[in-house]
Amino acid sequence: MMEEVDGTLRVQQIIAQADRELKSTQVDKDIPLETDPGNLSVVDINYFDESCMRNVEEREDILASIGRDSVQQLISHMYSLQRTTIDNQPFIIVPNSVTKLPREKPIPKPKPLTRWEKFALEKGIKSKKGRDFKVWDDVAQEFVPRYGKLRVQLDKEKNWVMEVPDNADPYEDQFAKAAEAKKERIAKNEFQRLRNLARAKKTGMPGVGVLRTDTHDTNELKKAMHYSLASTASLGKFQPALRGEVPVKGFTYNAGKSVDKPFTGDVRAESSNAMKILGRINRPELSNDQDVIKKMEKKILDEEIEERRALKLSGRRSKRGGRLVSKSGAALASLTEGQMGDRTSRKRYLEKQRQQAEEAKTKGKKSGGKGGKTPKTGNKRKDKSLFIVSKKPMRTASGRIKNVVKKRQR
Amino acid sequence: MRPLSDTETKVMFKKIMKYIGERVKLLIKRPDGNYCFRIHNNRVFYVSEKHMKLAATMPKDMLVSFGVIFGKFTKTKKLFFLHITALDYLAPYAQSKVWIKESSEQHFLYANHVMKSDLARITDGTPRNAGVIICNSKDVPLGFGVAAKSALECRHAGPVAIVAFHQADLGEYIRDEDKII
Repeated sequence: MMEEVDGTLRVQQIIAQADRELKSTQVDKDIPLETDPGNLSVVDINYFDESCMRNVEEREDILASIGRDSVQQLISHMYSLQRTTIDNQPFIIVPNSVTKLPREKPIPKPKPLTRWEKFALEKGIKSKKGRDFKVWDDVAQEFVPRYGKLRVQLDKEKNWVMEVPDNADPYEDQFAKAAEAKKERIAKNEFQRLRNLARAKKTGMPGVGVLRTDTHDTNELKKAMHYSLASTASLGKFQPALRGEVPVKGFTYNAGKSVDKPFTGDVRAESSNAMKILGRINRPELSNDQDVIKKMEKKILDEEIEERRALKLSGRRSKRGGRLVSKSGAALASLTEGQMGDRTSRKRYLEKQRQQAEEAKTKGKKSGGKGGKTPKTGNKRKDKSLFIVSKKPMRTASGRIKNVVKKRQR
Repeated sequence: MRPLSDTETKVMFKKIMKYIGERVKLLIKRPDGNYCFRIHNNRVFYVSEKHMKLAATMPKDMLVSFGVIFGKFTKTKKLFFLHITALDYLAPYAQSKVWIKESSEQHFLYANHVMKSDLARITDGTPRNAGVIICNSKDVPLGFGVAAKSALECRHAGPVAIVAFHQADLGEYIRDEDKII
């Protein structure tokens, strides 16, 4: 008996000790903790002495115990909820959340009224929705649809005759006219629908159709030019800038972007850039760069060529520079030694020959025979002319020498 | 707040160079730290890198001023107007200075032009329409101006002739308190 009593005592002692060590699953607080198993949250609004937070060693323990109590409360509550098993796994069915959370997003603004809706409100027009789909038609003596394919067919049959009004052209096709008018009405409606959409979304509407380029109005032309520049596959990204074109922000690609520099934190790079700009300010307007000189020379040359071209096309021969001589004529004359080619080129060739002969004589006298030779050019290709002249000249019926000239095959 | 674009920098430097010439470099690259120009609401601020980064943490619409306000751009950014607040940074590097007599200091500080009778000294070789810093006889900078006459012409000018046009003076700190920012 004593052993049993001892045994039970012993067991009781062990249990008591265990109880002391393990904290109770009961949580007693002054203000009961609010659990919201739906959100898995516990709210503890008991008095909390903040002075304990100052003690670095104590505060962690205090906070941990508070937390432990709250979690204990939650889990005890969870055990009292309904349970199920899904796929041999035990689950607790958690009820819906009780705490009211604030709105995540702002309250939606009311949709702006469309143009029609505003008008309808003003005039007091009410929607005709809910009308009957079928309407009584006296002619057909039956209910016909109000709109749609069948209605269109019926209308066509009804209007097998169309009166020609007094003021209209008798040969005008009234049916075609009616069909055209209907197409236009549909197109107009579509346009207005799209315009309303654009208005509602505040996006720009593309211009109607193709912009004309046969106007003298500069604004229209500018508009057409801008749209055409952007009408490439890459939306005008790679189009070279036209001379004198001012990039318009919002219109031209990449316009206005130079101002929106990203905010750099690199002040040193900025200062070096600023120094560069300083240097550029002091540079004189006209530079002695070789590039500039070349540009000017080219410009002058182009102008001269243009002048000459203009003169050639102008009336007076004296301004043109004499009779028009073809290149081929001159070539023929020189190759065939004045036998072929147009008259002027032959004349000129012979003149040239005479001059050269005179020069050769005078030169020959001076330098003793070696003067006449021209230095050989290094380029072999240049020596060979475009034309091949036959070595043996042919004679025509009248006995005139005729050289056959062929163009060299390259 | 953003750094100045190239065109804006150019316009601003041209203006500043009227007063201090090539010494603008000393403002850009300083031995005692990295300083930079920033533009905010069309106003140009001269600020050290550290303070600029602090100011960058502010929301744009709440930011009023940081560093030193140098001046203001017009709406189309074509013109740059220097403010009196830039005086401390430009006066030491000034190319041309005009010293006025003590008796006429008040006259200038009330936004009047500098006349020949007020003039004590002027830097030799000041061309006409050059930017000048106007100082008092103790070399304290009082404001900015534009030379109406070159240094030579000043000698022969009458007592009532205007020598320098007033552009900004220290009195503005009191008169135009709200416009300073």
